[in-house]
Amino acid sequence: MLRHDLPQDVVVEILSRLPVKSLMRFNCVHKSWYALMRSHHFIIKHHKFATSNNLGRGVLFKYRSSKGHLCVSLLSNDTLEVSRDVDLLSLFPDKIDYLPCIYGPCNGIFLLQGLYKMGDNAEDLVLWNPATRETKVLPKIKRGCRYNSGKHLDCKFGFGIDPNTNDYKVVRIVDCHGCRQQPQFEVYNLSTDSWRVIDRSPSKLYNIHSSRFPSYLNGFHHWKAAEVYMKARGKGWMFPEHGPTRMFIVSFDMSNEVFLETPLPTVPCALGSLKKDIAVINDSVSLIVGYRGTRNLRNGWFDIWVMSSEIGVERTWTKKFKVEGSGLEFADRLLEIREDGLVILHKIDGSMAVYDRKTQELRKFAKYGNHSYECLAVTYTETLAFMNGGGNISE
Amino acid sequence: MKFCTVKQYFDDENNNNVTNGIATTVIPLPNKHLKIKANNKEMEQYEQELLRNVMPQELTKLILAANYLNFKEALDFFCRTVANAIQNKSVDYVRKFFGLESDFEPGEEEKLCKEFAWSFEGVDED
Repeated sequence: MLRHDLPQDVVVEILSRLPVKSLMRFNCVHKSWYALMRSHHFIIKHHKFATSNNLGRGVLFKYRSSKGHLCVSLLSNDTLEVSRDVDLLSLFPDKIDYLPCIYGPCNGIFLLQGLYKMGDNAEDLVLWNPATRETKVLPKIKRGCRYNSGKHLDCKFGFGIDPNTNDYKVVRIVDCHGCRQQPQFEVYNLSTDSWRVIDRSPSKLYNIHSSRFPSYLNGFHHWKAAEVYMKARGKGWMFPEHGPTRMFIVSFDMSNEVFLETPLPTVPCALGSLKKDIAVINDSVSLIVGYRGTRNLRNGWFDIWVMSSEIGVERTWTKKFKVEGSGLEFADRLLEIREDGLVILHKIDGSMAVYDRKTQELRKFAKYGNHSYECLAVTYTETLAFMNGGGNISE
Repeated sequence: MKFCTVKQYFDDENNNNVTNGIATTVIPLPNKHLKIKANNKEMEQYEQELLRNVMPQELTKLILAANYLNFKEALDFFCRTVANAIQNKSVDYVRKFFGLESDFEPGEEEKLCKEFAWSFEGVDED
């Protein structure tokens, strides 16, 4: 037991090196500690320490069991063994039917989108911190009479942080098929816990694709988007009648709330299908292009393109590296390309595999489900950020 | 640069923060760090050795010394050591360790323990 009292700043140094689970328990130690853990300064300090020292890392892993149930587990970042299972569906206020998208992580926080079959494509959004196990249900979005009921409403989301205010934001793109309306854009601020319509929109009309990989980096959320055109007399939009569909990356600036648009690179097109996805890999905005072998149709490989990110300079693409090996199959679902050179895959038979780019070795892990459909693996760093009760982190 | 404070200390007679015993442990640390910086495992073993030979009371003095002398590496090392030592301990243990007494109302503390019940799993016995 310490004889001398430690100065407060030393206590803070010690506490900022503790894992989140310990800190949550130590909330009970003293009121000053409870308050410290909710202070903006300490939350940032703790997260910075964890990020720079590769501490508090986990992998969120989502898959369908052989019986078809949605399963979510948190895995150890080093061994990929299950630390615990999570019942994401129970985090929603009502019983949802489907969880199409998990956005993030943004500084350790995820945004979950849950859909209800009944009632007009209604959905619920929940912010979730897997480390503190705290959730925050976003206020329901008002569906005004602007939209005719019965028409199919398509909502896409983006999730990120405004780096100037440290406020978490969600951007919602509402596309009404069958209406003559242009898509509407709305933004949610955690600091005000409310939605508002913004009048900025991209310069062209796009069919924006839901993100399959983490798509937030340094104040921007990115989507893959196809350029589309309004139908002449009918309602809604359509793909170009002649010629190829032009693909773009559309990025939302969380701070200035404006859109940036850049064409995707023209990639060599082999026979057979090409898979293209936007993903943030190793702190760069990347395009993953999946190819199928021409001689061996089962074989597959990926080209990774990286987008330049200097402010004020035109965004360009450079082909950075290739992920290939005899163990890779076209049917493999690429889950994650990690900083340490490991690639996490879900094989068609349901087994999780790790491919080492340096050694070109493929290691199979346990079987999760029967196939790779809908599988997701995302690495995150634990954070202490609290979302409810004004404990948000704007300055 | 690091050693300016050391010189100051030796000139300052009334300094209670650093004793000779501490000086022999803290000051050689940066050199040791540099020598085995590359090898994390070796560093861990060295840290464990140090921890074994140091009582908690001594640890406070070491921390205060490192803080006073503004040895960032030593301070980081000691804080990490303390953090590792207490991370799985109970609330009571930590209170005693830092010399704190609960200032919560009885109802409040119970409520918190309930809210964060999951964080009490797997805690070391006192």
